[in-house]
Amino acid sequence: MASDVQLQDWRDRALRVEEEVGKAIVGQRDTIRLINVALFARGHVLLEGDVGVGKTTILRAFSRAIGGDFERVEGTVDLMPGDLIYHTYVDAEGKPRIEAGPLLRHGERLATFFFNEINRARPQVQSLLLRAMAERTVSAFNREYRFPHMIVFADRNRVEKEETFELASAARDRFMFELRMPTPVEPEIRRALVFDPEFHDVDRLIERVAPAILPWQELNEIGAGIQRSIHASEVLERYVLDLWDASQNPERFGVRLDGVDMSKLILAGVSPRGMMSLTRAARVVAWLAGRTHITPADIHAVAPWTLGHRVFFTPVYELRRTLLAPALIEQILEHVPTPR
Amino acid sequence: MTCRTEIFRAALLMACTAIATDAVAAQQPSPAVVEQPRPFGYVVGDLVTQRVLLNFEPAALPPAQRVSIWFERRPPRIEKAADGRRWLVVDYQLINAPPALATVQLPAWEIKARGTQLKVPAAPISIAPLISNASGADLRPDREVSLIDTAPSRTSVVLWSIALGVTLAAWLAWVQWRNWRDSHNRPFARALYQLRRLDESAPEAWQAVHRAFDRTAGRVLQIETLPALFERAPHLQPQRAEIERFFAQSNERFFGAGSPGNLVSVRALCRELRRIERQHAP
Repeated sequence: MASDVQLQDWRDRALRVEEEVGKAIVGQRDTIRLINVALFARGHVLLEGDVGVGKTTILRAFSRAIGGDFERVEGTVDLMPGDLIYHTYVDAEGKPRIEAGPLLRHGERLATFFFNEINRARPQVQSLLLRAMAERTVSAFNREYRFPHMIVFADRNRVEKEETFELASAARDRFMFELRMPTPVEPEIRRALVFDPEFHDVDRLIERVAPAILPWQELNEIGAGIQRSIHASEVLERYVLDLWDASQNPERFGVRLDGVDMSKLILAGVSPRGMMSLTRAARVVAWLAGRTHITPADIHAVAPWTLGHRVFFTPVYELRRTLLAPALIEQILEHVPTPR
Repeated sequence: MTCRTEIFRAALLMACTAIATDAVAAQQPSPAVVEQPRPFGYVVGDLVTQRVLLNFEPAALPPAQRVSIWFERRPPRIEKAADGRRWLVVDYQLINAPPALATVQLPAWEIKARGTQLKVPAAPISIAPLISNASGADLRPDREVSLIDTAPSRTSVVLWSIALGVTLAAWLAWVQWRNWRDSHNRPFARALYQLRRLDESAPEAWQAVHRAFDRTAGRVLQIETLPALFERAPHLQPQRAEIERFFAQSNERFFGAGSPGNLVSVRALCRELRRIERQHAP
């Protein structure tokens, strides 16, 4: 268990990361906080939003602040799994050469793997990524490559549907958070984004972020230390288990959605991995708030982003997922009682 | 010389005598012009009126008080006659009845003013008893009264008593039914009903109060979502500080380090919220 001094020291660094990223990104305080939570809970993040809201910029800013090696892949329809593993070319002497691809190139120094427009990549590529995310290993060249410090940030354009491949549910389950990045609504921020030239040059914007603030090699240990140090009471455990139950049987808790036959809505509730992600993230939220115990508010802060993409609807309702999933999670949080 | 001295002495003596006589006359009260009351024909309770002519402004009027065993003086008043003269009117009430015909004195009294006094002399008044002791045997017998039939009245009293009893019983039944309905329908009444069988510091008691808040707000409440409660039930605002204290302590107790000291009395809180809830019931 980490000492109070260690916890405080790590917290100061975590808050510094938010501060630095905030220098490059305005009007996205909640998104920055949630990505930071995922970072210390050692979870992967899928970021979704409209075109041009700054998804790539925020992830690049985080990558710079975290430190360690950074790799970026653009999802395209012709990208194949091998393209992540190796790169072939003919050298100046006319000999074929094979070199490690973006996933293997940095070895264990890979701290941030940024997959841009992941839904443009084929399912074969997504499958490869699944293993890399879940096990942080990949087999290639008759050996196993390990990336113990890797966090995957991926973004997905939610507007375009042509030449895209919807992520399989198993792939979505690998992401701790599926965040929706909104377009800023505050008039002052909108004005600054449009008229302030500082926001037009993304590279210079990213350079504002102080690099390598975190000891990226120690993040796994720090994350584990946080998980061991933040306490969950018996009552809170019961609450989380009730939430889990409600994701499978929302009717039992009096959850109702307009125009939905609740008995036919749910195909599968949240997975055990999803509930693990929920409590891991809630512990980090509690830690960032300076507490040593989780409260329901910590659960509520992360539940929409950890549970929403992990509830599976029957086909008749699946097409309305974008509307139904957030409403369902909100209703579950409003109806599952605690303390009980 | 001796003769002139004697004459002067005699004149001086006469002057002194005259001055002394005037001084004595000024100190002696002069008789007043009084219209005394009729001297006969009074019985207990009658008013006896004395009128005194005023030719000066009296320093004080005689006080209202009991003046003898027989009479009590009432507050005097001044009346102006048609000829312009002013009369002091003093009423006395005869407050005792004599056993036989008797003559009693209305006491003398004086009116004082600056440099003068008026003396009102006593007046004999003849008073009589209402009945004669000797004539007791001659009193007329009591009139015989016919008996009234009280049966209808009794029946009416019994019927009205039964009606009153039934009304009271119905009212009591309604109160009991209302309490029962409250305890099953209104959140805090129900919680208070559950608390009757619980120690108020027990976790179950606190959880019952939490459920009452949840039902009132129409959603599960945490300390962070308390504004939803006051939006839905603004009448609970006066208890906001105590409600927030309850939620803060509950958070600490169920999710934090354990029960804090100086716990909120959930029974008192619930009782107060039930009172407000009842006042604002639709």
